[in-house]
Amino acid sequence: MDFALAETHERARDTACAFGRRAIAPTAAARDREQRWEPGLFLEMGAEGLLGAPFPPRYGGRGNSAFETVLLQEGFGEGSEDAGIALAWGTHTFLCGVPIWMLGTEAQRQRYLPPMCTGSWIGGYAASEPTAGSEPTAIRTRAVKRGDRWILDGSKTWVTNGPIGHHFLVTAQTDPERGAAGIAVFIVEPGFPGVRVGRRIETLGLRTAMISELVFEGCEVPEENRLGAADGGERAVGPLIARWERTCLFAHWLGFMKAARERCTQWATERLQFGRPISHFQAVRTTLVDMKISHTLARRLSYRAAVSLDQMAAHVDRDAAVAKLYLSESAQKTIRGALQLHGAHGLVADQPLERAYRDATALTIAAGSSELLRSVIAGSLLHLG
Amino acid sequence: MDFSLTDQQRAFKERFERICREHIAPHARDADRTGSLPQHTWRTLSEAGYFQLFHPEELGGSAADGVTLGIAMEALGQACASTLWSATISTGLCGKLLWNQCRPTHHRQWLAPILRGEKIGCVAGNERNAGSDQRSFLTKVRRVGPGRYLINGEKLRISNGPIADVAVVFAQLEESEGLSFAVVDLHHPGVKRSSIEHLGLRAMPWGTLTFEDVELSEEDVIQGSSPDKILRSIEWGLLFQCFCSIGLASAALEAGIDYAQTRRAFGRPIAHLQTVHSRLADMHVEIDAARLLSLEAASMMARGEVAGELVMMAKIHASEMAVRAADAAMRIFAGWGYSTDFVVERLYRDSLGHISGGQTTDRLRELVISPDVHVNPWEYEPFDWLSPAGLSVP
Repeated sequence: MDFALAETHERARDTACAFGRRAIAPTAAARDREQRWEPGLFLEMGAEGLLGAPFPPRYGGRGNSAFETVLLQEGFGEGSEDAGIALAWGTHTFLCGVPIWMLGTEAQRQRYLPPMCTGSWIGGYAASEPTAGSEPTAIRTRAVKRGDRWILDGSKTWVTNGPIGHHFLVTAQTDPERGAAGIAVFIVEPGFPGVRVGRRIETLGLRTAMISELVFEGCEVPEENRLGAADGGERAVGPLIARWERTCLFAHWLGFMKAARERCTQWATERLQFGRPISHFQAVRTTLVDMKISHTLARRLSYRAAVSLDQMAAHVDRDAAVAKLYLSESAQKTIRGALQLHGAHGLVADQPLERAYRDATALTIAAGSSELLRSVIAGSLLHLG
Repeated sequence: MDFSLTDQQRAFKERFERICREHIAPHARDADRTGSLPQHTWRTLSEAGYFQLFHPEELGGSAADGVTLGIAMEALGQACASTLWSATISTGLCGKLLWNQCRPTHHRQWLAPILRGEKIGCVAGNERNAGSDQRSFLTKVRRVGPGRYLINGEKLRISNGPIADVAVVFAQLEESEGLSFAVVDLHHPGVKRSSIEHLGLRAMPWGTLTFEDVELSEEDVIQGSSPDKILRSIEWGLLFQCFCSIGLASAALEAGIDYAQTRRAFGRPIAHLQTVHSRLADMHVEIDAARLLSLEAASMMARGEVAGELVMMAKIHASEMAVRAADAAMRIFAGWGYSTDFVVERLYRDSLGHISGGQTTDRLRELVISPDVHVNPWEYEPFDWLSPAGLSVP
C-alpha cells in the first residue's frame, strides 16, 4: 500500500485548480443567475487537457488514468466554484466519451473523440426517460432496423448538455422480448433527421449546465452509429457508465469541500461576536472539525475507487458505489455546515456558498441515488442475485 | 497510490487471522463473562509474534510495517477486543513509551520480557479528577536524597493496572517543567491496586494504582521530554483503538450479514429488506473509510513519523463508527441482539469504551481543529453564556 501523492500529481491538481480560478470562477455567479452557457469556456477546458484527460493521445487525449483524472476534477472543483460546468465536463467525458473509447468501433473513436477532446463537439448521455431513472432498462424508446438505418422513436429527459450537445449516446429497445439484453446504444446527432432538442429544464441548482429533453420522431440513425459491435449494447454500457460515473462524475466535489473548509476557517477566525472570533465557540469548532474529518475520509474513498477502476480490482463496482455514496452525502453535509457557519451571510444570492448549496442537492439523486447505492453495496455484501 | 497487499502481508494475514480464529475467538465470550483472559493468551500471542511486531529487531522485535500492524490489530480486535487491549497496552503503548522515552536499563529489564509475553506493562496517566486536562495531574515525584526519589499519587481507569508488572507513570517532578515519567515496578511495597468494574472490554483488567512513598532510583525518573517525542509514543494508544474499533465493526458487519441471510420473515430472508441493506451498506462504508485512514496513519507511525492529526481523526471516526455499526447489528438481530447468546451485545458494549479510551473524541476534536483556527486547546476563557441568550438571572 502506498498513500503518498506523487509531486507530479499534486502539481496537476494544483494546475487544474488555478485554471478553474482564472477561467471559470469569475463568471460563475453571473452564468448561474442568467442560466447561461458560455461555449468558449468548454474550449478553454479542452485546451487545458481536462476534457480528453483519460483518452489515449492518438485521439487527442492526455492518457491520464482514472486516478489522475479524479485529481484533475478535484483541483477544478476547488478553483472553479462552478459545479454545473464541472458536471457538463463529466457527462461529456465519462458518460459519452468513455463508452465510445472503450466500446466503440475504431471509426467511431476516430470521428468523435478528437473533437470531444478539444471541446468543439460536446457529448452527452441520453438514457433516462420519464418512466426510467433508477431502472435504466424500463425505457420505451424503440429502435427498429430498416435497411441500413435504425429508426428511433421516443423521448429522453434529464439530458445534461442536451441544448448544446453535438451528439448523444442514446439507449433504445431493439428487441423488447429480450428485455435488458435487447437494448442497444446509438450515437445520435441532433443534426440527424427526426431529432428535436426539447425544452430546457430549469433546475434548483447546476444552472450553469444546460439540461433538456431529447425527442425522437422517426429519427434516422445510420448502422455505423450503433455503438460498438452487435452486443455492445446496454449490458456493456450500463456497468461501464456506472463505475465511471460513481468514481469520477462528482469527484470535483472533493475540491468544493476543500474550498468550503478554507472559507469557513477564514470566516471563523475573522468574524467577531461577543468580542472574540467565533472560532472561540466550541460549537463552531465542532462544525469545522467534522467537515475536516469527512473531507479527509471522502478523499481516500474516492482515490481508492479510482485506483480500483484503473486496476479493475475485484470489488471495483462496490468501491465505486461506496465512494459516490460517501462523497455525495458528506459533501452535502459539509456545504450545509459551511452555510450554517456563515449565518445569514450564507443565504445571500450570487455567493459561492449559496450556489454550492443548491448545486449539492443533485448529488444524492444523480449517478445512482443514495437509496439505490445502499442496495447495490448490500447486494454485493450479501451476494444477492 | 496503491491499496493492495504485498504477498508477504497477505501471507501474514492468513496466518495471523487463523491463529486468532482458532485460539483467541473461541474464548472471547467466556473471557467477557469471567472478566479475565484465558491463561494461554500471552503465550499464544508471543508465539504468534504479536508483541514483537511493534519493536525494532535490535530488541528482538520484527519491526513490522504499518499495514502488517494494522492487519494484526484488526484481526485480534475482531476475535476479542479485550485481548487486543490488554496485549497492546502492554507492547504498543507502554512498550513504545519505554522504547522512546526511557533508558537502556528499562529496555533490558522490562521491554525485552514484554516482547516475550513474560511481563505485562501499563501506562498510568489518568487520575480521579483529571483525564483530558493533563496539566492538572497531581501525582508527584520528589527527590529525597542523592539518587533517591519518592512517588506519591493515585492513578485511575488504568488499563492492565490490576495485572501489570510495570507502569510508566505520568507525574509532576518537583521543580521541573513539563511532563515527567516514572518507571515503577508494581511489585514494590507501597503500590496498592484495585479493580474498577466496567461495562465492556470486561476481560481487559482496569483499575486503580495508588503510590504511597514508592521509592525510585534516579534511573527510573525521566524528566520532561519534548511534546513531539511524547506524541510519537502516545499516538500508538490512539492507533490500536482505531483497529480495535475496525475489528469490532467488522465483526458486527459479518454477524449482520450472516443473520440477514439466514433469518426468515414473511417468507424470505430479511436480507431482502431495504432497511437491512441500508444498515449493512453504511457499516461497510464507514469501516472502509476507517481502515484506509488508519492504515495510512499506521504506515507513517511505523516509519517513525508523527501521524499527528491523521491518527486523531482516525480515532474519532473509527471509534464513533464502531458504536454505530454495533448498534446497526443489534437492530438487525432485533430481540436476539439483546441476548447474551449472540455476539452483538458484547460487540456493542466493547465498542463504547473506545469513544473515551485514551483521549475522548470530544477532546481529540479540539486538538485537531485548534491549530487551524489559532485557538489554544489548553485554555478555556470564561464566558457568560446566559446574558446573550437573554436568560441571565438578575
